[in-house]
Amino acid sequence: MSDDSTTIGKSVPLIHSLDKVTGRAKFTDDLQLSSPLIVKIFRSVHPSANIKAIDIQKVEELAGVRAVLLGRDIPNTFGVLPISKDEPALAIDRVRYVGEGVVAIACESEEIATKALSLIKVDYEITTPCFSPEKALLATDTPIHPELKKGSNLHKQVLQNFGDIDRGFSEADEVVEEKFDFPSINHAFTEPHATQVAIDTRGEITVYSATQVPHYLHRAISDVLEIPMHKIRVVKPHLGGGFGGKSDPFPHEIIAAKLAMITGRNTKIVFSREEVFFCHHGRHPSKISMKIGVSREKGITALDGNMLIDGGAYGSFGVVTTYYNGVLLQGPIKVPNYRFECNRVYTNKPMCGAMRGHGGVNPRYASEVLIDMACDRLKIDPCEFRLNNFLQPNSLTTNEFRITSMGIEQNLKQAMTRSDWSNKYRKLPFGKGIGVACGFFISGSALPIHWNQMPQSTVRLTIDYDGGVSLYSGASDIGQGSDTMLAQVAAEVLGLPIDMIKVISADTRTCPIDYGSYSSRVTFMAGNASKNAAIRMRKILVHAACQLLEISEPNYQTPTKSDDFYRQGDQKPDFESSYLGANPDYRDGFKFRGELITAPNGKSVPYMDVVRKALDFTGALQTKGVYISPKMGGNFKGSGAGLSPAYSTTVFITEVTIEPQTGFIKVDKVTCAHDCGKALNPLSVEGQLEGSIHMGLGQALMEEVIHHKGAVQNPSFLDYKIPSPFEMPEVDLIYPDSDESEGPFGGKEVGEGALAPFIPSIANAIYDAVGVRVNNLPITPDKILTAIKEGGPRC
Amino acid sequence: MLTHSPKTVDELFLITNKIKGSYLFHAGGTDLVPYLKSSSDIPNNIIFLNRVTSISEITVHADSLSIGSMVTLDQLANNPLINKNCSTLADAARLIASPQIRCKGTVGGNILVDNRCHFYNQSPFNRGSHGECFKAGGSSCQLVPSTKSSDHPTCRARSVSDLVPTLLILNASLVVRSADLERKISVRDFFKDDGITRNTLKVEEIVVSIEIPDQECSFVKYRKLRIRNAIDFPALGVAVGIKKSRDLSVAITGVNTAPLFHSYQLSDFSDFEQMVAHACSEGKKRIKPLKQDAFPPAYKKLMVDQFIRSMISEY
Repeated sequence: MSDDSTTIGKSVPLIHSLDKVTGRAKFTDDLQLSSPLIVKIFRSVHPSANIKAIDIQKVEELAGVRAVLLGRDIPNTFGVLPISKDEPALAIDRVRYVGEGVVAIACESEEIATKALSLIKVDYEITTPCFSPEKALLATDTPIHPELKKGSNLHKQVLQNFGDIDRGFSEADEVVEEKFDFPSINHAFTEPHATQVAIDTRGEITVYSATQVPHYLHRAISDVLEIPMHKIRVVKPHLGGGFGGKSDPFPHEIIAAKLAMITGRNTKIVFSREEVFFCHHGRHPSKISMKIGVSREKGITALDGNMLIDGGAYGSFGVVTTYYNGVLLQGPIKVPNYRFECNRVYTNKPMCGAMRGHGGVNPRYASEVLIDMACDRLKIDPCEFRLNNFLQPNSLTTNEFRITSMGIEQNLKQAMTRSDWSNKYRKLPFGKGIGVACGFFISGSALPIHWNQMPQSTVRLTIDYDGGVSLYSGASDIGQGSDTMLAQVAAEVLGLPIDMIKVISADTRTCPIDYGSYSSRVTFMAGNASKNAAIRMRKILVHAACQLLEISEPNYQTPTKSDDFYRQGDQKPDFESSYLGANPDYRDGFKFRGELITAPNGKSVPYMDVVRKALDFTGALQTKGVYISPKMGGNFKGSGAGLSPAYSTTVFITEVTIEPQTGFIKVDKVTCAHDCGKALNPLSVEGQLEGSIHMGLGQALMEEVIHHKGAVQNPSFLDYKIPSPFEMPEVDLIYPDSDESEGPFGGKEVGEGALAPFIPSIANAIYDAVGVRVNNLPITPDKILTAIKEGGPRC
Repeated sequence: MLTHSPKTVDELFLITNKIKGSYLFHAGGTDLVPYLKSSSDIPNNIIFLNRVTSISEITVHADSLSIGSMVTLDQLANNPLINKNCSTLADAARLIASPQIRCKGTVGGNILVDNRCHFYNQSPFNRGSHGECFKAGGSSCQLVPSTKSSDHPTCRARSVSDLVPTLLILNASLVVRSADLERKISVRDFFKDDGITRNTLKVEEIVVSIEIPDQECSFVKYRKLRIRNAIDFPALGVAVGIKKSRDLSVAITGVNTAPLFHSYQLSDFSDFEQMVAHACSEGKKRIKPLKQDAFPPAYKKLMVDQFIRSMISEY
């Protein structure tokens, strides 16, 4: 990046923001298809039952009902992971949770659909539900998924063991061990799930859906309904928040498509908030036992974790979650000896899946609280302890994650200074406290869910006679600003104002495949693809400029570090291919500045003249750029889980006030230092960090999905408590540039990693304030008061 | 569903006389509209009260203050007359819900707000997952499963008005009108210990205004327990009043089926501290918290004591 950058590193308002705040932006529910049939789903009121009979006679007789769909009409099951395709679009023989769809109807109006639902009668044979994850581990003759032939409700077990765990503990000066309990957490996104399907006279469908991953939905509809992919187009309109909760393909999306095909009519389904909670896919409730050995000299000597995570009725992302519960503890502090066992079980509750900080949030609470406990016992400053033991740049973790940039040491030092840590820690009056915690998160998953050799992201650019740049990407802007990021990257390379980059995204017909918005991958991967495509376009323009100026073309350098670009035996890229590597250099001696392109010899030529020259004899200019993760990872089972081309780190120093008489908690101030490499758009970085703090605050202090006999008892924003503005603390954000050599212009993850460590930083501050620890979230005033009354600190 | 928007109280009762079928009054609608969205029992008619200007006024009389039932909570919180003559009620109003809801929600609506139970306040589908409760016309109670079904089953849905405790302390009265009768009833006599019928207001009546007499209390305070500092109904709300004679009164909402009120005369106790200790003990004894909302029952008992003491410490 040059010093006179046009957009990178500058606070750029998100390109859709004005449309959104003025109500012009169209979300899925806003689209006006021609006379869509209204789709509603009849849902099970039982957590576990066999379906004996379904009586739809009265429904079929009701005027205005155009189609009735049962589970047997869609026999193929699906799931976001190829290894756990265990979910039917509608229950076939049995229901596995309260809220599971049993019958779907397509009607001429909302009123008719509501009436029709009341006419459906299902005869159930009620079976004994399993709600307890501990019981789910036991052998049973009646598992929730008998087809898996497991003899229990265990879905996935991961065991990993590195180093010598016993020797590690023997080397410790202090060994701490605790049990932790975490409830179910919902994403609480603003926009409920919604899908509309348009069908044309050839029977081909366009699925407009609030999805984080159009490509996975495209695959799922094709697989489940057995339609060729080319007859399906998936488009994501503007989207009101996902946080992982819209990254699976969902039953209602498949149902709406099927009903459109049966009726030949457009269809529409929009969830109520209650349905969102019943659909869930949120953070797994988990029970964690963890033991950490700490040495004054060597840092963490051993970590032994046992996690039991409650997956609910189906698989979703659960296999990945099971791995992430353990592997993401490998940073930011080096853990030389570590072992973990994580078991994911099926229970008769709405399924859990991916949620911001996927799989890493709850174990992070456990590990950071245990580190605080150990430091307390050893009388070591927990900040100083961390400073001495962080992973170093360009190193490997014990499980062979490749660490590139690592800015956490400087960030913690800055956070200590800005928060006045050394004058506050253990020095504040009773009731006031300060605590620290750190985090570590992936910047995209290096391995794709569906194993193939395609690039993880592809971006296409076109320029035609008007000179505007059309940027096509399958990446899904879910409000996090990925469209803006893609435009920024292309604008930077081409020296154009950002409004000359027109982003067309998340449309499977017009855009190249991208794996979508999850695992904090888009800036790193799609950003790199955009940079690759823009450099190819720049080369075309330079060629035309040279012709106009009658000068010779620059000597292009081959990509540096090209050996790193091999992936699992793939071809080595070269400068003539579409892949120039991660964060490629494009110095060609030319200066692209808006309306003028200046050659190395100082002569300039108007941008539009160059574009039109380039169009001669070829027409529209087109380039493509891709991103491919470099080869990495160890040679052991499960080595791919948690592999990422880069990792972010976060430091939180949090200050709280506790009212000892009531246990009331006020988070007063948060100093958050996040290593996102180069902040491509500081405005957006700050928004993500503030959002992570708000979301983490909710999980820490109040959020909990409550079930009663399997039914969600707080499926509304009145009863599911997310923090109001009054609870938000003063926030001091620190995000200095670190040198992430492979991220586009040096950027890496910022959307998820900051959530996890904020929660234990609150817990550690509470301990500093009143000397008690609460190991079961949420940390509510009654738990603090009980802990104080029970005699205070346990460590 | 038909809607009606009368401009006077008399016109309102002409409409109710003519209506065939069920009707509901719509004050601010902040509680009613969510209820209608999740209810299978939709009335034939909705009568909007927002154009009846005569019940939207605040008036200061020689020995009392009159607040129209359609005064919004935001007006109550910010009205200079209220803040001058009855600031404690304005303080309580500011603790209700959110700014947006306070702009729509009304004083009358808050006093009459339906009792809440996390088994009842669900969609018919969700209630159906474990059987309709008494309040929903069913035959079981999930909150207190031992409750027997009868002609008048006990419903333990809790009262949740934030204004009522303060009105109880202030000895306010409600002016209630039907087509041909106006009556006045003390707030202290208005509520019934039943989560279904809740109060003595008849179907054909509306609350016109609230009258607050000149105060004997020199000190009135209200404190609210909730997990968030906005939006939430009270998990517990406690008001205390101390008269010039140093007699004490305590009112509690958010826990029992009906709001609680009790007064204590200093002359019955050896000193003020003993009276306060007795009031705290009585408060803990009288509330019957069940496992619902955001806090466990034992904590609410502790907080009754804590709230009474903390407010009185400011006296």
